[in-house]
Amino acid sequence: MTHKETLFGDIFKANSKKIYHLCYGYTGDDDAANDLMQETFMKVWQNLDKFRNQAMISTWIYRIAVNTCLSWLRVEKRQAKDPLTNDIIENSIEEFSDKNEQVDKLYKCIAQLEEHERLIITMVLDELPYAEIAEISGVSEGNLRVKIHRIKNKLTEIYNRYERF
Amino acid sequence: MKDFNALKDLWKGQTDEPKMNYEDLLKDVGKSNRSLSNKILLETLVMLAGIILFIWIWHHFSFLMWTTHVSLAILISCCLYYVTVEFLDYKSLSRSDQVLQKPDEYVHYLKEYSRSRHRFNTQNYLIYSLFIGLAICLYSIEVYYVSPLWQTILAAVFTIGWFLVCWKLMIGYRKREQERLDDMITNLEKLKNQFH
Repeated sequence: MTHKETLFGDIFKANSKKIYHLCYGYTGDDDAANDLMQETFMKVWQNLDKFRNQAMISTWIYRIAVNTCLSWLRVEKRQAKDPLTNDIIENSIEEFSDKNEQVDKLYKCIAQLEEHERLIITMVLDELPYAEIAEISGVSEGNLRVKIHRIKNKLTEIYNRYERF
Repeated sequence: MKDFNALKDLWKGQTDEPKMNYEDLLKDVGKSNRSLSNKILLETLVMLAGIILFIWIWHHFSFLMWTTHVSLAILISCCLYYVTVEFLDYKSLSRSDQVLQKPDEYVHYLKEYSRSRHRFNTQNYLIYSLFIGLAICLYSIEVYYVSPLWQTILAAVFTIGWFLVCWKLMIGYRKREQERLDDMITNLEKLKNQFH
């Protein structure tokens, strides 16, 4: 195994789960999330030589993942907004354990948000520092704090609205 | 009722894992690079074979009319144009610096790229087809002087048919492409606005 492959393996192990969450949060679909994650890491592999002396490789990978997610909307012409109906929730109850059902419902609630809100909130849920989220999303830190506050409220409100079902 | 911290705990407790490991991914990287390179290589080889064939015809046959020389020059130019565009497109695809840009700049790049592909698939393709049609027309002048009448008529019918098919296909294609592009641009505008 070459040095590049070993390095890539380490990067993949350290970041794949979070990138998968980001892609799942954006698309609301497990298969699409896997496809986007694969595409993201292919780009990471292709650009690995360009990564030189930058502060955090995770920031760099997140930036690639965010941009890959943004082009998914363009290429696939799909909207991840899947209206959360009683039907979906009933099916979820049958298919998943209580914990998984709640996580599934949370993903469906994230899918109700605007595209950039989905990306930001998944990074917040994964506890990335605000400075890093600002760097990845290209939004100023001050503006980001306001946005995050608004998105947190919006997501909590959507979740609680549907928890009654 | 749950607050945001409860949602965060829920998020942390999720057990879903990505369905792939990096060894499979590395295999896919190799396969995907090879399949794209093979496709471009095959298309380039076919076009190069076409260019060699036209040059061979040009040198081995003597033509009466200057229009036939123009016709062959146009056909060779069309093949060269196609090979060049393929090569530039391949270069642009393999240069993936854009993916490291800030998201709003990246969305801007996607918008411009979509527009340029649209221009290529509609305007440029129309011009490309017209030039091939023109080359066939010019060649049919030679056919008119050296071949029996039925061959001349056949060449004329073929040329007219070529134009009609291209025109008909292009109208449908342009309409579909325009709708697709409008949709795409609307989505990209919406995304771009979200980052401001």
